Amino acid sequence: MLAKLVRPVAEADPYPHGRGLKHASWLTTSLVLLAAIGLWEIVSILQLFPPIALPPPKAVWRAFVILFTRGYGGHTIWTDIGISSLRVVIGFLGAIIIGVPLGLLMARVPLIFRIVDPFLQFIRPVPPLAYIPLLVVWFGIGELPKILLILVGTIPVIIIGTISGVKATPPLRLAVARTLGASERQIFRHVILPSALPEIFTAARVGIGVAWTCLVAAELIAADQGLGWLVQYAGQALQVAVVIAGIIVIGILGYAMELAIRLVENRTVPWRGRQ
Amino acid sequence: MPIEIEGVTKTFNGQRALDELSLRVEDGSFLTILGASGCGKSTLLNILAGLETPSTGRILLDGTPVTGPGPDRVVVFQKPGLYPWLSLRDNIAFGLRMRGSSSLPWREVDRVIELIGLKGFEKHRPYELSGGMQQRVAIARALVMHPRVLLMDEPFGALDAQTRETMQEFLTELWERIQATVIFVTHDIDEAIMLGSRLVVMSARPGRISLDEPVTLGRPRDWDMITTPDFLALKRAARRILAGQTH
Ligand SMILES: Nc1ncnc2c1ncn2[C@@H]1O[C@H](COP(=O)(O)OP(=O)(O)OP(=O)(O)O)[C@@H](O)[C@H]1O
Ligand SMILES: [Mg+2]
Repeated sequence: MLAKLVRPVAEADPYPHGRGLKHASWLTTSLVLLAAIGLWEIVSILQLFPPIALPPPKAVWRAFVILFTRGYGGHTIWTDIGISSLRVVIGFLGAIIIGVPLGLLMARVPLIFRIVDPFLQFIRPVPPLAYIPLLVVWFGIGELPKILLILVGTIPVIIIGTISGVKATPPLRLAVARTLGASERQIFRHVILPSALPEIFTAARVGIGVAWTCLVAAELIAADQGLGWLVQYAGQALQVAVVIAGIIVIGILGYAMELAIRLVENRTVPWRGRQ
Repeated sequence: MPIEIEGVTKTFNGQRALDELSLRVEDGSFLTILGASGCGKSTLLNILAGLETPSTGRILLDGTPVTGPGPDRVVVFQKPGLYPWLSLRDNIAFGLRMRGSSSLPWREVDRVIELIGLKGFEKHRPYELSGGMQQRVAIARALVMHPRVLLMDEPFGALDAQTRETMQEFLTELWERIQATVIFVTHDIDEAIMLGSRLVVMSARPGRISLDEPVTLGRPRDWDMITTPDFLALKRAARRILAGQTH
């Protein structure tokens, strides 16, 4: 399942053109959400599944309250949220800081592409879980291997998105710059780079999701804090209500971060989808 | 500057797009090139621009062979090709900025903006402009470079009739003022005759020159001229070639 995390950017972007669509459908979304909770309530009242496997919404709500007040495992969920967000953000930013320049270089210098691409193709299908033993042997059990795991899981999406952004520069834009006397350097800086930005942002939005999905794997490495740890730890203790609460928090945080990137995107590339 | 096209042939995958084309374009002339779709007009223009190299033959500019693009020959393409991350004003100044002038001639840029009738739109992004406005910006972007040769590839093809006419008048006035050599490609016969001081008609596959006539209509041009005998004679000759009836 984890092997599928890294998908090509284009097919993984659920809203390639339709940002406006989401606004129009928020009502539908909340209705669906309410209906799902209602159905969940009915199913748990009817006891179709044992309560330990599917606790009622009330139990999950109680788990929430406990998580935010007394906490689980000796600290409140705020600590888990903080530490997990930090790991995801650092891993993700690392992937951006390395992945974007590397993608640009790969797209421009065939030799670098030929050197890096085999590695990229190789790590793409490897599930993040598989790196754990290696990372532990190389980097111990501190924060570094956790962040590196997220970084390695996220970076292919960023690199591939960047390369495809560069390659998708409309030839006319290049021809215009050439006939106006721009040098290759200037064309790269003033035409190719801004042309690639929209796809880089798409990659970043997909990437932040991937980073969160790598979190659970990362927090299998000797963690005693973090949302991934919380979900696993509660799962082992069969505290399904806590597991569900943890999953919901992860989902909300992942979504919030995607929205944050979208905000930056709308300010940075306002021409996106309008040209 | 005079342009000499010397025996230019262009082959794509063994197929000849241009066949031993030779033409001398005098300094300051307005040459219109007419031809059916696919006869090699864009290919010729791209070679003149230095974006493509001829398979054989060469282009001389002022006696010097063309080896690549240069800001002395600026192209207006069929589509505007503006940069959406730049404002209208910055799009027009793009070539000047690439040239590396430390202080940009903003007064000149603003004068050209006024000339194309887009004063007040300086801060607009291309996607906030209509197609005709965008094409005017593309023309302005070429003009501020003070090119000695202006290469235009069906620049008004995408415009509605009304805007096209405005742009044609605008271009004619401009050419009279800036004294550049204009090579203007189109597949609209009336447009070719109305604008040009010389008309070249190309035949298709492989592209060859089938007709090369001066346009004897006086200036300023006027759309009433399309009923004059000179206009009609030229139109008939061009039409015959385009219909494939070369004698
Ligand atoms: N890059 C290319 N690769 C292969 N063939 C090409 C290429 N560019 C042009 N051709 C071929 O050369 C011929 C001339 O093309 P060109 O674009 O110059 O035609 P055109 O006269 O500008 O046509 P239109 O009026 O439709 O723009 C066509 O048959 C086309 O298929
Ligand atoms: Mg063409």
